[in-house]
Amino acid sequence: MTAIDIARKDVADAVRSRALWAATAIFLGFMVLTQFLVVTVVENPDPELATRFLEGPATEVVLPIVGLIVGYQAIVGERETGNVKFLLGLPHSRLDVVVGKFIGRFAVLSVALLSGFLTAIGVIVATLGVPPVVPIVTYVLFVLLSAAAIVSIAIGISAVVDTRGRAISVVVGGYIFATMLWSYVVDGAYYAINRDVPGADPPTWVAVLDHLNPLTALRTSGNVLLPEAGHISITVTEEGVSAAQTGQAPAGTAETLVHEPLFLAGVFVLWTVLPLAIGYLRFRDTDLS
Amino acid sequence: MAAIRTTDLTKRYGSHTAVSELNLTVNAGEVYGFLGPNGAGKSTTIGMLLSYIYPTEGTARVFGTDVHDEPVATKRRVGVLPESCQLYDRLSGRKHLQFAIDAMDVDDDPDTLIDRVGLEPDAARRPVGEYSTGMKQRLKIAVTLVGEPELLVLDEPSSGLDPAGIQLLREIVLEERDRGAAVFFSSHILEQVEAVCDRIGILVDGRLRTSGDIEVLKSDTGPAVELDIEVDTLPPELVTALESIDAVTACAATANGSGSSTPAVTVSLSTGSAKAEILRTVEEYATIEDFAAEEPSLESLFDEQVAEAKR
Repeated sequence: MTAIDIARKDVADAVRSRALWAATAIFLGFMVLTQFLVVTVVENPDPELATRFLEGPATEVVLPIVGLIVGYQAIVGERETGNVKFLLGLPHSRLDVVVGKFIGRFAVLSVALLSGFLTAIGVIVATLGVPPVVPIVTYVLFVLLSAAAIVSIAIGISAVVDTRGRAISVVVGGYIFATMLWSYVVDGAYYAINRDVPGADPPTWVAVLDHLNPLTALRTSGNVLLPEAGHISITVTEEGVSAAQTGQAPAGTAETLVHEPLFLAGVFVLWTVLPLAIGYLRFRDTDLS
Repeated sequence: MAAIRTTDLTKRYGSHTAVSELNLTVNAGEVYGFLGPNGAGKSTTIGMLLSYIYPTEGTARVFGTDVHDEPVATKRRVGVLPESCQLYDRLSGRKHLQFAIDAMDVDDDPDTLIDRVGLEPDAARRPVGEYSTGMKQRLKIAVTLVGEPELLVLDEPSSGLDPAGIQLLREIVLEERDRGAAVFFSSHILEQVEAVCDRIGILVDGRLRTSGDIEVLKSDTGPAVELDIEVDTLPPELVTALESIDAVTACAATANGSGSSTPAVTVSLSTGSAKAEILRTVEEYATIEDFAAEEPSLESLFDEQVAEAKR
């Protein structure tokens, strides 16, 4: 399997670069910082609450950005430098290159993610006690699925475009669309049909369209898989900031299709397979001059 | 079976035709020199032979297999040195070779290959980013030798090499040919092509202007020898006497020789064996001050083909 050879070489290359270690440091830093806040700011924190905070800025913001950065140059960068001629001068197919790059970059990102989670879990065990194992393992698995989707999107873009500059534009544009505009487009579609905006518990089709966005699917995975946390109320007093849990559940969590783990996993698988397939088909037919 | 056979191989980019109806054959055990000025379409042709670039029309076959249909299978039999190919700066020379050995699915010893291209064993363990251009080129040559391929495709293989490296390249190419491999050697440096190639093809503006045995092509371009003789005096009888000799195809007298005030006569011969006879004839009428013999070169052939194509 020559895709594995390419992936292995890619990882060997990454280990010697600063990119892997920077990605790991940033993700790990955010994971630990979040746990640190839980331990220091929240009154009477428990392992369950801390587990809930495994989802946070690290997974919602850092993971997608790092994933896109790790992947967007993988193929177009090698086309611009001429590395790809070295790869394809050997008996590797273009499919091997696309799949190999995907596996290599996904492996690199997984190392960063797993070390972040392991460290954060270590902090929880050391300060608060043993957290619930099954939800954590399931959630980490879903985070890895979403990481595969994000890397696949980046590799797909890298396989389709002709220059690194174009790859950056598409990646940045896509990220802005996914984080800021996607829900407005879905709401706009709802408005066009119903002359009204969707409320806190929107109809299933609106929720489904919203959750085809892998970033939304990732956030919902955290809500669904991690132990439910009560509403956190933050109090600012003369002594400083404190936060406490209240019993109240957050609004808008009616169980629908989009809260099915299988549906969420399906979204990630779709976003892993589709960009790689499109990227490969386009890269297969491209002249490399 | 031919190592390379292209049939009406054509590549167009929009309205621009980069390579036009190329038909060439390279056989096992020969070194084929692929010549052409910059922008003639050499790299596009090689790109099509290696399935980096897809032909608009026609086919390129390597050992009978269409490279477009079976790119991986053909590359198992080919050692490739593409132009503008880049190595991985963070990986060592040895890692590159091991990667190529794994890809070719053979069990060559990287150290043997490193030694063959004249790289130091220490250097082979350092990252390629620290290499000089010449060392990188040597490593790329070593990569092409992995698995004793039946065909070597070398695009400008001497670029970045010092004279010792160029000499080594020449030895390797001849060794590989003697082993039975076909070598496709693309270059714009004529003397290197002349030193190793059995047959050549000249590509100008995407068309193969000429192709064949290097010696035959050279003798077709003009006289076998051109003698330039400077003399003290130039009597008209001398020219008449020279023209009466069978081997002489042309004879021109100039009162002032090139670069000096000496009279000179330029004699074109159909065969080199008549040189002595010419000199003896001249001596009968005048005293020879100096002379030079010029045999047709690849350069004159090349210049002629390029000039003809531009007309």
